[in-house]
Amino acid sequence: MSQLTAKICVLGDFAVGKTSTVARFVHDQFSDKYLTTIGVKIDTRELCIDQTAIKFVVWDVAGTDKLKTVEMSYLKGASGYVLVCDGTRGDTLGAALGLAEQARARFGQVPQVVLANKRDLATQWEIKHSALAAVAESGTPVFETSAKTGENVDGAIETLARQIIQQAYTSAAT
Amino acid sequence: MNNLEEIRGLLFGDEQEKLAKLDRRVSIPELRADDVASVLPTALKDSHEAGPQLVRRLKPPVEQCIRTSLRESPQEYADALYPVMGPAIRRSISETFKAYTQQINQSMEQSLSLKYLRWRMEASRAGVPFAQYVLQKTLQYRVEQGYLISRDSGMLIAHVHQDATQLKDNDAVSAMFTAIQDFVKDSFSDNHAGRLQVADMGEYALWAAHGPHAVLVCVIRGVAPNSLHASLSGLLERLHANFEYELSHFMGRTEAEDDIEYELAECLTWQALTEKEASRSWLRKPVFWLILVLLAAVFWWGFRGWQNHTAQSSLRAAFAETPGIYLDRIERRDDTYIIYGLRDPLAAEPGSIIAQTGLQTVRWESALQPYRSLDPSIATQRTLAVINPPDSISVDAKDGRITLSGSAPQRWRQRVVDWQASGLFDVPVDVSRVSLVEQSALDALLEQHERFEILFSGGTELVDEQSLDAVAVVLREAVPLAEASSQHVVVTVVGGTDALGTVSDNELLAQARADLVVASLQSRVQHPRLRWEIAAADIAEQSVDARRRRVVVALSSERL
Repeated sequence: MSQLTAKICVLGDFAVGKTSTVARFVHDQFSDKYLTTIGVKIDTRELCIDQTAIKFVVWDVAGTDKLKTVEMSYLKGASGYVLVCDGTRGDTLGAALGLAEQARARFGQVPQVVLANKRDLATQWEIKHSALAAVAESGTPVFETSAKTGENVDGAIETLARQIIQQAYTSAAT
Repeated sequence: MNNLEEIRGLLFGDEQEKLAKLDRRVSIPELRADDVASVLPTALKDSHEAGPQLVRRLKPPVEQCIRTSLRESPQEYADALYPVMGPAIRRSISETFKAYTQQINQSMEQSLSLKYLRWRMEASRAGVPFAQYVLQKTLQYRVEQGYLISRDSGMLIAHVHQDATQLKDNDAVSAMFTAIQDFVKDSFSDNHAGRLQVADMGEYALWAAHGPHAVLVCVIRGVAPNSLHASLSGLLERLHANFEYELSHFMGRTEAEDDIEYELAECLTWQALTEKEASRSWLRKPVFWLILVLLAAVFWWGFRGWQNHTAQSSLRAAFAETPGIYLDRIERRDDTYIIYGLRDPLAAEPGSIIAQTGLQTVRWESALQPYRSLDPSIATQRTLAVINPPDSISVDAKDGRITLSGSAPQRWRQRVVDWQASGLFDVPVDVSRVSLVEQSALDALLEQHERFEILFSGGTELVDEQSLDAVAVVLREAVPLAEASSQHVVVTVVGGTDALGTVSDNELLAQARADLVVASLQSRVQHPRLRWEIAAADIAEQSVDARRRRVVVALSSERL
């Protein structure tokens, strides 16, 4: 079994449920207070995908609609992004995609997934499915998740892991 | 063509020959192998000295060869290893026992020495394992962990550590360190070029060395010397030189991870705290000086106490041994010793007693009350003071008894006897060896005047009145001496005649002459101490010598 370690960054606007979503799939290593002090919190998660053991070092970046210098430095060397938006707040999808575009412009294209969070509040949903479908058609997998129930969270992370593994083997082959 | 070949041969003959030789050496494998064989040892040596690349490249095929050979020909390996297996096993066992013995010795020392017992208590109080506490106390510094972190991504490239206790997720730690470093750099560095190099956290410190592609972060326990900075930077430079590609293209995994860790392990250095440094560290602590001052005060207090105790003991012993003194206690008030107790007036003066102890410089006061001591020596002194023996008396005081010898007046001796009878003396006094002065005088007088002859002319006609007077003088002198010495003076009178006449007449005449002398003497001196005796007559048988017409008076003494 081959082993791989990958850095992934969780991006999204304020209060979209990034930290709650991350808490669903990581082993807590450090206190949440780091989010309010230095603007990032580190956790890890180990997965096994198709005979490949992959260890995610998850950088949960504090919520923002635009990356400043310090947040930008946190993204250096990331192998993938988890873009989190709040399904009950329509503007958060655009904010997440904007952050991803800002990162891509600086560090290049890396695998990413979009998590439309708060699926458990479907009655208050603002983001249109067509918008999510458009994102998915552009090549970014989209998952409607619930940090409260954990729905689809693991699936989204596994999808990102497969993309990262595939890219790692592709770059190794080249 | 032939001319051309000939011209070519003339112009390039040597070069053609060399080319042919080179072609032959390159095209024939055996020759090429010989060439490679000739330079291979030197090439291997140079490559090995240049760095670990050769070892790293050779390691996989060599390991594979050994595995294959072991699998296919185990007996040959066993035979080859046989000569070294025995000594190796013996040495291993010996080393194991040696280490085990050292461990036992160390454990004994640790268990029994006061220092380690104290450390054990302190570790228990602090709630940390004893081994960890001993490490803290005996190490100047130790690099506990070394992280080699990708500079861009913060991903952990390699990690080494001393022991696996209390380790967090290394990937998370390295990422967090990178995040904090980025945060500090972006927040507090004006040009974003600063780097976090040192961070102190109680007994631990983080030292970071920054390279183009990776950051070496060491977790250090204790106080490391500054020279360690240079060592870590040098190690990071070597890692960049040897693994430049792996570090610059690190994306979560590298095949050279083992080799990188092997070299990274060099950062796990440590230095024990020497005894000198340990003692210096004590010197730097104020509590050490406080304890020193307290110890000095306690020592001074103890010394003064010991001095006081010694002085009091000496004084107590000296007074206790002095006859005629009963010591109750000695108190020290300020710098003055006050002596309480009883003292016989005949005992030694306190000043002279203290002088004998060698403590002349101490200040003292006497609170001794007078009393009458029954100590034999003091009682003897007191008795002798009462007796006041004359110079003619020698005194022997021994075992609580006074023995007097020599001569003394009867009156003095009688007084001693009377006082003893009345219980005046605290010790018995023996006067049996004291002779009286009067007795001696009487004896001498009577010895000098032992015999007198008083002559008669015939019949009872006394012709020698002077002799009678002389006898009377002696008797008058002897009487008081006899009285003093409790004796009688015996006056023996013997009447005598010559041979003329009959015996009976002569006996009557002798008796008459004796009576006459006695009467004459008694008329001169009369005293009860004089005892008169008339002895048998002394009548000559044939002589008619006139000197036999006499009365002999003999004086002697007799005890009552």
